[in-house]
Amino acid sequence: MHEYSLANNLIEILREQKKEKKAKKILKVELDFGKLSGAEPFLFEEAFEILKKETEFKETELKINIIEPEIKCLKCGKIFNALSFPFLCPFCENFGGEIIKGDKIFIKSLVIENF
Amino acid sequence: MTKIIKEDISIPILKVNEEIAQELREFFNKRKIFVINIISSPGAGKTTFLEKLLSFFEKNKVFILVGDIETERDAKRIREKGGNSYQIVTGGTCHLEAIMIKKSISLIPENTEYLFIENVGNLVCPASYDLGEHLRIIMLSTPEGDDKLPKYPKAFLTGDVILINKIDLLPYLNFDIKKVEEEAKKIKENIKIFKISALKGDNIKEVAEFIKNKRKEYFKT
Ligand SMILES: [Zn+2]
Repeated sequence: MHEYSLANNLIEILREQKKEKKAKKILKVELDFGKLSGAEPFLFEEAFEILKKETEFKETELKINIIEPEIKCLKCGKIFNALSFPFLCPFCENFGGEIIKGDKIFIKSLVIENF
Repeated sequence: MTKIIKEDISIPILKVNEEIAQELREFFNKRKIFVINIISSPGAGKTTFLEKLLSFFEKNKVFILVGDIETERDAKRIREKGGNSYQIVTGGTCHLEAIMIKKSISLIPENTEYLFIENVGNLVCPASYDLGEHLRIIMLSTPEGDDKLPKYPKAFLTGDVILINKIDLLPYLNFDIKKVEEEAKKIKENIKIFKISALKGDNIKEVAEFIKNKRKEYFKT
């Protein structure tokens, strides 16, 4: 369960961004949350809601977009969505493939209030 | 007057870990230290494996970092076998992070050529954290059952080597080793698989040779 450390990382990045953008408040943060990130969105949300109370981001709203994995076939090069393992290319029926999207969590946007 | 604006950014949540891991890899490359990160469930046999593996290396060229949630037991076991090891107690965290490795690098002796990192026993969280390693080993053991791969795909996807440990127990278990090998190849075609028994010492030498060759290849020495 590393959702707490991930939520802590988010708070660190929010601090950095707030300073950098000279923002008064961060009203909202939007995440692109890859389905293959290895973390659970609901646990992450829970962790963030608890941790933020002790910080200057008490009022920051969290929005999570779930990102479906995109896999690139190593044989035919086509891109497909995979819902389960192992990845099976629907075009050439080759197994395997490289994840090109959906294995990470990105902070996508911030809504900030400026002075 | 206050203004509300939306700013698009694209920052990985593990940005800091990724930066430190990169920094570590550069440090290890400069010192020609080949780093191996070992990930498994608790009880898969990582410490026994390392104890056995050590006998195929010159002891003063190997350093071991052991991640554990709270005890110092595993590092002590390795030291008793004559290995250089240090325990990183994570204080409740279920995985090692690059920053924890960074804090320990001053302990690594001058002539070290191999650094083994025994991660915290867990197949989920450690998979997401790059520790600046050159080789990632995923270990599973036969009593855990033969359905680990589809359950923990991320670990196996990020791995370079799979060790199937405790093969000496195969006659007593319902473990389809062929199925596991086939599944592994489907998940990652070029993944290297070793069937070992850390307890009996089966195929440990082969793993040691493989690691030594990887270092040679990497540093072209
Ligand atoms: Zn294909």
